[in-house]
Amino acid sequence: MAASRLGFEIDTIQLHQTLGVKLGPGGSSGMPLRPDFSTRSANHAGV
Amino acid sequence: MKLADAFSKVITPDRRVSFRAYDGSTAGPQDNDVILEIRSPRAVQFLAGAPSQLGLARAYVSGDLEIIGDAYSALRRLYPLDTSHLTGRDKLALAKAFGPHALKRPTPPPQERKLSGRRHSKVRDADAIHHHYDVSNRFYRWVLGPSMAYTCAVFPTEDASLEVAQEEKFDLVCRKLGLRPGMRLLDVGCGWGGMVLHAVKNYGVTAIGVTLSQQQADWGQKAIADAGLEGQAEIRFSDYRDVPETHFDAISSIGLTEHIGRANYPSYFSFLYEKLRDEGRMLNHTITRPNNAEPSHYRTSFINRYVFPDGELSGPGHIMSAMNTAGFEIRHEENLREHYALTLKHWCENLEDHWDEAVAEAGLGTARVWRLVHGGVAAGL
Repeated sequence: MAASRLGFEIDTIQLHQTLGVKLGPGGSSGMPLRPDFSTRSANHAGV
Repeated sequence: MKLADAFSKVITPDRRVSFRAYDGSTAGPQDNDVILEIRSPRAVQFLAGAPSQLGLARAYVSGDLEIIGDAYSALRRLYPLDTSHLTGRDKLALAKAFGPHALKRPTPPPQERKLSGRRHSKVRDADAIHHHYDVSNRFYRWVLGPSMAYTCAVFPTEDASLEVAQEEKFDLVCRKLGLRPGMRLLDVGCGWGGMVLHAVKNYGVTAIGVTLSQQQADWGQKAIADAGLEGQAEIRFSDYRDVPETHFDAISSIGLTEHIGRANYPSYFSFLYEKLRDEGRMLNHTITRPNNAEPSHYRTSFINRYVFPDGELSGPGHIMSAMNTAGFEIRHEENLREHYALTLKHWCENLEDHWDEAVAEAGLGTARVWRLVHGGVAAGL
């Protein structure tokens, strides 16, 4: 794990999250105009 | 020439790494916080036989090479290993001193692994996953801590605990997927069920997770039963290609793509695309190379031989293109590179805190493999 930690620090490896949508008929995405993923949403029940 | 003389030619004192060897020679202060120790001629043979990360790994795993002090600090100080200052005369002297002796090829440690069969056939994939993830749940519990998630966490702050950061990761995925009560989620490569449990508990969805590891599935099923969530959550011991349900509202794939193989990206992403309803979202979370220029797979790498058989990585652009080609509209992309470094720092600390138990459980060789690297990575080192 020590070598892996160094690998991420020196940019020989990265970690990517990629979000895709399957569009509906007519190109509908179901996405809000300005999605905000940075804060926990209102419907989040908490732990 | 003594071994320390050879070491000093390659590793200059400004690296702050000291050295000692079985031939009695030393370099640098012997009370230093990082010392490399060559304990047997076999270490030299491993290094000469595969002068790369593989030779270093063999020597370290077999115990012929010891790092006294913190392994990460040693690697950090030794990187990048630069031999450009060596003259032709230096190289000749090194070859003369160690050439004949180093020609012997010792048998690699038993932790080294080669798989048979066609790459990414279901049988060979199952074998690879079994090798990687079925160390034992106890071993993983010591390394990963109570959150039992073997994927990159998301740290809200640098000093956040690993448990907070793992929960933040699962929550970030839930938010990106836009989960709402009543939705149906499929989590492919679900591990011990962390994503399934988080989504069901906090977003009111029903979720199916699939894993090729029987031990993970058993652990996940028990966690679901303990939480009283049977009926809403399910973990299956299954290949994701064998999931019969369809029309999911959302799909998460966290740490699976590394096992898929670049040649199989089209069928993998197409399969996930077909499993979604219209306007359904898919979040792909994976380790990548920094660009598309490097090969997906190093056959002789430490990582392929020891930790992660048949693991394959590609650049982020390639992942995005493959998703796009399968039909997905790309909506968002982010790189969490620094978060994985932090995650690994915590796993390293956990392993050291439970070193004796980890050795008793998995054996010294396997524990040393884990200390030096972990799954999916160390590419290019």
